[in-house]
Amino acid sequence: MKSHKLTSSLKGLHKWVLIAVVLSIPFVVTNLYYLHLINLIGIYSLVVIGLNILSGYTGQVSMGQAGFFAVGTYTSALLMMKLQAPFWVATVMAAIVAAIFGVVIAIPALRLTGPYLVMATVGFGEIIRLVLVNWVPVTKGAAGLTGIPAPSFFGFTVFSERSFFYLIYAVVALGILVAVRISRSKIGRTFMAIREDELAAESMGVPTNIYKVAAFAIGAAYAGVAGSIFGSFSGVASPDGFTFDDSVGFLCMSVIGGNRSIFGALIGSITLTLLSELLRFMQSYRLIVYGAILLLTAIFMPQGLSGLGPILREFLSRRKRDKKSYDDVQCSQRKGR
Amino acid sequence: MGQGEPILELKGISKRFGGLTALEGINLSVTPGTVHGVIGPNGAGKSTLFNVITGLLRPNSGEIVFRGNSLGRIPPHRRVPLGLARTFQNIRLFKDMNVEDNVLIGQHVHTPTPVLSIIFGTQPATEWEDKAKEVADACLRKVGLESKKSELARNLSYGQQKLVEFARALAAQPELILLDEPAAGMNVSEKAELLHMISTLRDEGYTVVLIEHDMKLLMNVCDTITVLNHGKKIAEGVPRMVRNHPDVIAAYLGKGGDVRAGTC
Repeated sequence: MKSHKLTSSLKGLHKWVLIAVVLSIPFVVTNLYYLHLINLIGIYSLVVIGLNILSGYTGQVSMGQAGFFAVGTYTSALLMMKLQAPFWVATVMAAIVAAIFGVVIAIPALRLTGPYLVMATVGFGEIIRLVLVNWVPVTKGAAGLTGIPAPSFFGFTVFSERSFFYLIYAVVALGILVAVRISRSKIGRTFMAIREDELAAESMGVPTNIYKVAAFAIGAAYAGVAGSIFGSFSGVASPDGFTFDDSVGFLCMSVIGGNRSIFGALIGSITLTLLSELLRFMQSYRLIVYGAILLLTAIFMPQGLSGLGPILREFLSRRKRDKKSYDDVQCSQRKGR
Repeated sequence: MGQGEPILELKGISKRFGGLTALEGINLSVTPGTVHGVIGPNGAGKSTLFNVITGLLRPNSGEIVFRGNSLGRIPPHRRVPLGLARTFQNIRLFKDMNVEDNVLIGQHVHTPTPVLSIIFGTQPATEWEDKAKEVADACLRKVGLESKKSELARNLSYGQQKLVEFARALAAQPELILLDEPAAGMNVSEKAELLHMISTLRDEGYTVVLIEHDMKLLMNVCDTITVLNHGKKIAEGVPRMVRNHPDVIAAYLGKGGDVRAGTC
């Protein structure tokens, strides 16, 4: 009983240690370039959490996530630049507008599955990019928006990499918390049922259309929030940043990290962002490496990197068990003598 | 609803797939609290009948009346809260989810979805979840699979998966349960258990409509049997009468002296 109490408080300790480690990152990583990468990882992971809820949980594969990301970035940037909206208002609006786009794309997508759905979402992403390029009076076309204001709260402006780190990871923590709650709730269970067998879910009373639309809205809202932060973080936004390649990149992060797990989004963002930096010397050839990794992941670990956790844990506990039984045998043999 | 008034009534239901007539002018009425069997050779239209009743297919003509309401164009998911639940001929479980979650989906229409409570992690969401789990566990206990509730559905044996589907349908708290070949692929003892379960359900006041190939099972458990062949109803009545009906024997075994063998 006492030891149980101890282990549970140790588990609590775990959490605090993790939080302390994360909070100290900006002080340990003093190289601003690395900190910049860490911040990008945070932003991408928000996009990928949304994608995981949509694709991993609900089974609606989307290759238009960069489109929602773009909607968030431009909505927030334009609100701040033209209407002097405060950052948090712009971010909430970015989430709402992106979610509306999610609903709009979801309605035609309701009747589509598999490759047809993928094509529709690819088309959506391209439409958004083309609108950004061609709607010059508002979006400034290919030149893009410059001078997107930095977020400020109560007179304190978030400007340095370090302060952005805290802003971004506070949002990431919140995003993970909400996503985990959704995924473990009735909503998450219903999403999964739709992924597993839509017809059976419908026959058991699930209004599958409403849930699919909701999944698109949630996935888009996450990308919208990430986009809002991204705009203020980089100060500029142009259509080049929201191409089909970026959508594929998000999908790779989702699959490689494990799209049936919320934390998989974080793992995938870390892996792919670091990998793309390591492979920078290969320039556009690195897409070949991505493709190979994606293929290998799909074949050998369909649950992604996050799927390795349970396997590893089982492997370790089995080894421990084996060792223990081996020791027991040794012990009894010795006794026998 | 008065005693003897049918819980489910089909009036002249027809369903065509292109040139193929799967159902033709089917009239059927199911008495509440009975077990109603539907039999017929392969391709007779039994599963189509279920799909029309549950709303997965829309009939070309005819009307379905369930507990006094015409089902008309009501989509499948809105028929469940009216008291209609089903199982499938080819098991359609949520295979990568655990057994309890499968049964919880059956509960979907009976628990609210407190979105804000879920996002903010407050009391109501967890309370509803606990309540739903209690009901789901009770349904699993009924089919004797409570001990398997944390296993993935895909890891269960075929017979057990059928039982999970059964429990999932029970979780929807239906008035009428449609069972599409529940005994297919079950071994003898599993069948005996199923038989016992179906008669228990009837005693508890459920109405059961049952598609089955296993004649012995049907004869033992059904109050009424309807026989379909080529989309038409060819006989209906108590089991003993149906078994000796010449058309039924002809449909199953062929007519004596008929040289059309191989064409049907």
